[in-house]
Amino acid sequence: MQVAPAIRSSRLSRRATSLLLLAPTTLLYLTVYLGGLVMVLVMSIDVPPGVDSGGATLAHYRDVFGSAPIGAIVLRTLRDSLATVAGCLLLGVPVARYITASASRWKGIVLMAVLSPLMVSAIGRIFGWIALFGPGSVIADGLTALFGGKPTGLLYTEAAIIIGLTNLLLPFMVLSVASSRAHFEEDMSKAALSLGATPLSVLLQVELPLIFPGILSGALIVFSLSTTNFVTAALLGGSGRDLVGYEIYLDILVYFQQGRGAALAMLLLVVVVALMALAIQTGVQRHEVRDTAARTRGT
Amino acid sequence: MSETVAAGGPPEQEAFLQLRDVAKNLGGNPVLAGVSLDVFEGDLLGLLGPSGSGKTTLLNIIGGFTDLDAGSVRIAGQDLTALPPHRRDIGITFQKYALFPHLTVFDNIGFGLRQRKVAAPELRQRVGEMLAVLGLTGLAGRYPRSLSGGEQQRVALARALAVRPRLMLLDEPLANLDAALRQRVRFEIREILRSTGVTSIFVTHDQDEAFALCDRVAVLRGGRIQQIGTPAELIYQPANAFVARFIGSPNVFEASVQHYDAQTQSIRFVRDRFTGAACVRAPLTPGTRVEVFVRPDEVVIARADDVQPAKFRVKDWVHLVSGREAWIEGPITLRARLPSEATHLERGAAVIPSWRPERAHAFAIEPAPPAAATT
Repeated sequence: MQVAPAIRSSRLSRRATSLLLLAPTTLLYLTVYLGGLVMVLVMSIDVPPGVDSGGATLAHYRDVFGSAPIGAIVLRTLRDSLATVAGCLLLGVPVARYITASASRWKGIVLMAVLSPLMVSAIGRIFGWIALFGPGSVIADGLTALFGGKPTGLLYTEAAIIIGLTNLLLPFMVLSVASSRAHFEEDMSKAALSLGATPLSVLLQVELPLIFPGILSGALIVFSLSTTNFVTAALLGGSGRDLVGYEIYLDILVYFQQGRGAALAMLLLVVVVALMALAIQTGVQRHEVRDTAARTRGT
Repeated sequence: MSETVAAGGPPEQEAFLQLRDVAKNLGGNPVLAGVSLDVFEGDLLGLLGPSGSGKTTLLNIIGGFTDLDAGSVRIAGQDLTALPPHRRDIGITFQKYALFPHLTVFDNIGFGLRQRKVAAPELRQRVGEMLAVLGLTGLAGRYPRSLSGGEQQRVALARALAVRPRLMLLDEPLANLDAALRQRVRFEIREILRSTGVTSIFVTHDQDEAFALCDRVAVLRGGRIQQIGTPAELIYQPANAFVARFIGSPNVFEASVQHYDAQTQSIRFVRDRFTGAACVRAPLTPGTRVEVFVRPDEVVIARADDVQPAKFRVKDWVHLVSGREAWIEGPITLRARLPSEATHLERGAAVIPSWRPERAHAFAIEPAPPAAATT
């Protein structure tokens, strides 16, 4: 076999080329991303100035847990993030269905419209919202007319944060669900209908299980982006309604409590990663159970 | 516009499925232009037509997925027009099967029974029956993606039949199977539909499939039914030029009428000094331009002798599974089929083609085709 070495070497060089192409990304992640994380980790266990104990310390973590408002801030962060996930699901799934339905004529335009919040600068968008939600705005007057109370509007409320985050993060949910809906064929819903399933049963028993992986990954992306977001929360939520992300920002850049901010950032990272791992595990398990069952029962 | 003839079935019997003047426009174009169709209980009807002929739209209208613009659909006397698809009790199999990928074979087949709230023991028993009938028993726990095309096809059939629908619609059930499997599966499908006795409509663009599977076939083109009949009727008594051209890939050539014989309902035609005979559906005056259709296996060729001057020569042979096909050239080019053991005719040999007049069909060439006939 004279050709074999040539084939092998071309195969090797192809693999080498593809590895080489990954190298810049790997380098970027190792230095900028992982390096940055290590710096935060070091900061979070660094000895505060003036204290002479040498080496590392868990003082910043104790500081975080010891401070009274932190529990409320974390709770509020989780609550607002979950509400944002729910909002994105309620709004995003129908949009994703529309975009992926074969008969839709405007799907290109709708997709562009849904993605457009990502293309507007954060500051511009948020100042627009302040004008929209703030006192004296149409929304404020409308709310007063409907429910009475002071014409302060939605600005500096949790509702403003959730609405803002939902708008900002909706594209991620739509894209994620739309990509998983590729497994769904319109003929499946026709088949289910012809078998006597009501339109609601078709949605719950056929379509939802099929787009579930997309819903899961969309929810994870939206959740992690809302827990770590701080610009939206800071400008729409105002003082007393800040989220973990904003608290970290304040600690590090305003109050110069780098250690405490870093510790808070590490804790947030751990919580988010743990929640994501749990969610992915649940999602993966569903598939694994199915596959194992298939293999054992099928033969 | 219901020029359709409901052939077959005892005339005193009320048709089980009745389509009356069903019309549908999509984007201003008539997809169905007045389709009337009777299907009798237990019938296996083929809906045959080229792509764009409206057969899928017709299927969607019967299934309830597309609204009709005019006309009516009735099953056993009940008007279906206002009934949503999930209450029509019509089983459908799809070209790409559309099995539920997240459910096992068992749960796919049991899906319809579950919607009907059938109790677990009965559900297990009925799914078990379907598995046995379709030879799927060993596959109950498998997922669709791990099945072969033929197995998926049978699961789709079992899923639709498990609820014992009053009507089955099969959309190109063999289109996604390879050629060898197709032969076997089409007889399996016929057997299963026969044994369940369910009235079925089978949509296809492939005439071999339609003829192998169905008792009667409706030929659809441009949103109109061209002819309904048994396979033999479509082959030997085509109603118009379209059916004659569509069935059996015939020789087609133009000629002009020389003489019309009212007694035998046939004509003699002439084309560049070549004359022949063909049967017609309506009287034609001499001089009328006609299109003549004759299938290769009806064309007999004989070696020319000195008495009859040869007008045709053998140009080439093609070997087919069913025999040899000769291309002969003369005033017209014809394909003629001979069994493989036939006398050898060398290339260039002088020959005379002939056929039985009733096996050739002539239709007057219309000045302009009707608008709806263009697909």
